[in-house]
Amino acid sequence: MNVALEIKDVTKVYDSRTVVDHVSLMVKRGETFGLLGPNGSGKTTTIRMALDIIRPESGSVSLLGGMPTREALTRVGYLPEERGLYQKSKVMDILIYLGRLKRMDAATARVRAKKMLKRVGLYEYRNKKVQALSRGMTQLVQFAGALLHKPDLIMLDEPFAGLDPLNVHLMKEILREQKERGAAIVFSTHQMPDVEELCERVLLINDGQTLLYGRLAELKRARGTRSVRVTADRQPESIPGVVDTKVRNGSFEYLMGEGTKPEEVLRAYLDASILVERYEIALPSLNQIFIEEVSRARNAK
Amino acid sequence: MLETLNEIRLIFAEELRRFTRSKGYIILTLAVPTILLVVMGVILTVRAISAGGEEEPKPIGIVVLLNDFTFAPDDLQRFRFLAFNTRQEGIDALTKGTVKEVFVIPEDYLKTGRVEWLHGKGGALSGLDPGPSDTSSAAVRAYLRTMLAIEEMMPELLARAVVGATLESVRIGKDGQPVEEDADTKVGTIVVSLVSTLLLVFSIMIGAASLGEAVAEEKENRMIDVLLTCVKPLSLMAGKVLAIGAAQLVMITVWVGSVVVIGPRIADIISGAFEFPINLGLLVWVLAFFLAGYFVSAVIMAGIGAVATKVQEANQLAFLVIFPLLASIYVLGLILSNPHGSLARILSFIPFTAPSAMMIRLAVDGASALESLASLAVIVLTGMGLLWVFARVFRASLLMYGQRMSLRRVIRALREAG
Repeated sequence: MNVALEIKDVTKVYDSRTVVDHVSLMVKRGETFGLLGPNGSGKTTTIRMALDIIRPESGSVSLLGGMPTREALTRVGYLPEERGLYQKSKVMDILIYLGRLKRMDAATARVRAKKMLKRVGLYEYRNKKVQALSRGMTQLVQFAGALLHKPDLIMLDEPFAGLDPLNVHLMKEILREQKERGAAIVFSTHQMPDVEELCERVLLINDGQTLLYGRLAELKRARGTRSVRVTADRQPESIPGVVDTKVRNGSFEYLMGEGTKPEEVLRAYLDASILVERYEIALPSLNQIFIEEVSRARNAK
Repeated sequence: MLETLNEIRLIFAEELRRFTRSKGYIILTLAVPTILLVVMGVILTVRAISAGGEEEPKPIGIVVLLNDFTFAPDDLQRFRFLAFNTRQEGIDALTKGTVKEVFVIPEDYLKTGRVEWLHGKGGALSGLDPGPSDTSSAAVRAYLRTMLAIEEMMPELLARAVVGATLESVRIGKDGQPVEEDADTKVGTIVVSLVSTLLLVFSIMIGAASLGEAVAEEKENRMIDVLLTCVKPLSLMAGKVLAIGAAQLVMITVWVGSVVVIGPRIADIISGAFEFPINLGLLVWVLAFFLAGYFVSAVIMAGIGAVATKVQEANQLAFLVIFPLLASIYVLGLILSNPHGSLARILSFIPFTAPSAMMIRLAVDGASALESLASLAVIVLTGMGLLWVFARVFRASLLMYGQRMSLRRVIRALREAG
């Protein structure tokens, strides 16, 4: 079967608090999957259960077609949320060690480490101690370490946090290469534009419970076409059925109320004899969906 | 099993490499030999300046009580011998410092092959088995062979001619009387045991404590998450404990080795500075208890690192291990005064105090071999049991962010681990 990771109905309870509550997800090989949720929603715990670092109270995890055994885990690359490397060790030594832990022989690990350091632009730092690197550089070294052994499944916990735009771009580029190679990628983040850019499917959790799960495009379409974007030099005094208006870079974004059709916005412009340069029915952004869904879940409690 | 051993080996190699390359470790390891070399250098320099480098080597005292052996006219000069007629004359010359050592060839030499070596040196810092210098023993053996060759050689003496002599060491005290080795050995063994106890405490304070700190740090920065996707918690902890233990053992070996190698040179220069021989058997026991004590303490320290949420907390909790060790040092006096007493026996079977208590009891013959083995077994089994427990608690403690590991959680983690 073409499944890299399957989590079925897992629950983790800690001190009578349910940290992850009957969560399920499935990631196919060659797919990029986004694990979304606010702080403390259970994303990291879900990842740690997937990697057998901690065990769930109930439910099951299937990794690369089987139990999450040590052998299966050697085919996984993992970048934890906190960036921790041995501060007094040299970059190359750490990468070789990480490769050895993934059952590579020392010579192969060295060759791969050199290659990965070149790819992330840190080759000239190979003999520097980690403490001499910036936070972003350390993160890239750790990222390189996670990919050293050409893993079949890559799990990244907040991979872009703390990186400058150039390094974020570089990391995304490398992730695309890994995907082309056939690796499955799972990453958690708060940055919705990153998810929209990279992921085909997502899982949104809040307080350990699933809010949304599925294909990103389908989730957006399912939310309806309630947003309209108009580019014009001004807007009509009133548009019937519009519940919210935002002005961005010379464009007006309208959120339509229930039962209101998008073409009513265009009609209002035409009735007011305003020249419309551009008119588009916009799908809701993932950011909007995130805020709405999480707010709704919190208000319901 | 093979996989677990491979994992332990990987962790062991990396931890050992990282620990032994740290500046602090290198400086500490080389501190003792460096200090000893500097001391020796200073003493030699001062001596060279004050003596002007003209000091003549002392002659070798020799007493021949065997009538058949005489001295040829040039023997005394050739072998740098100073001959005495009686054993007492030789001892007097030794006490006065006219000679550094005296060889007594007894009347029954041809029968026994034994030669007495009277000297004033000995002790822990002179090595385990003090003996005459190569030059003097070669001179005496050469003289004996010459004499045996001159004599009409009986077949049974042929072997004697080859071997020359079996030297019997007799140490002469400052009062000119032979020194009771037993009394000195006791002083030596007690000193060795005390030093070992202090070394154990010191090793735990720097080695095992850094182990706990390292584990807590890995937990704090989540490096542990990466490691645990590659190896089992038990392999991780075992590899770390063994690596830091090995590094500490290397450090202690360098220290003791440098004392054994450089110490006698200093002792030779400052004659009579160290005067206690030690017991090799005791050294083996001390080493065994030292390693066992280190093992159990290192496991506890690693466990503390596993349950602590921050490095600072791990450092604070390290006191829980160091305190019983220090407490056992405070009661050393009581153990010394009554090595067979109830207190001594009880402390010998509490894993934290047993290493130091047993090291002292063994030094004063206060423990049988069976009792020693039982105590050693208690320490090692406790260490192995704790390693098993902490490896399981480790997984449970990973879920916690900034929360302490309570006893209730520990029990729950063990129950869940089955």
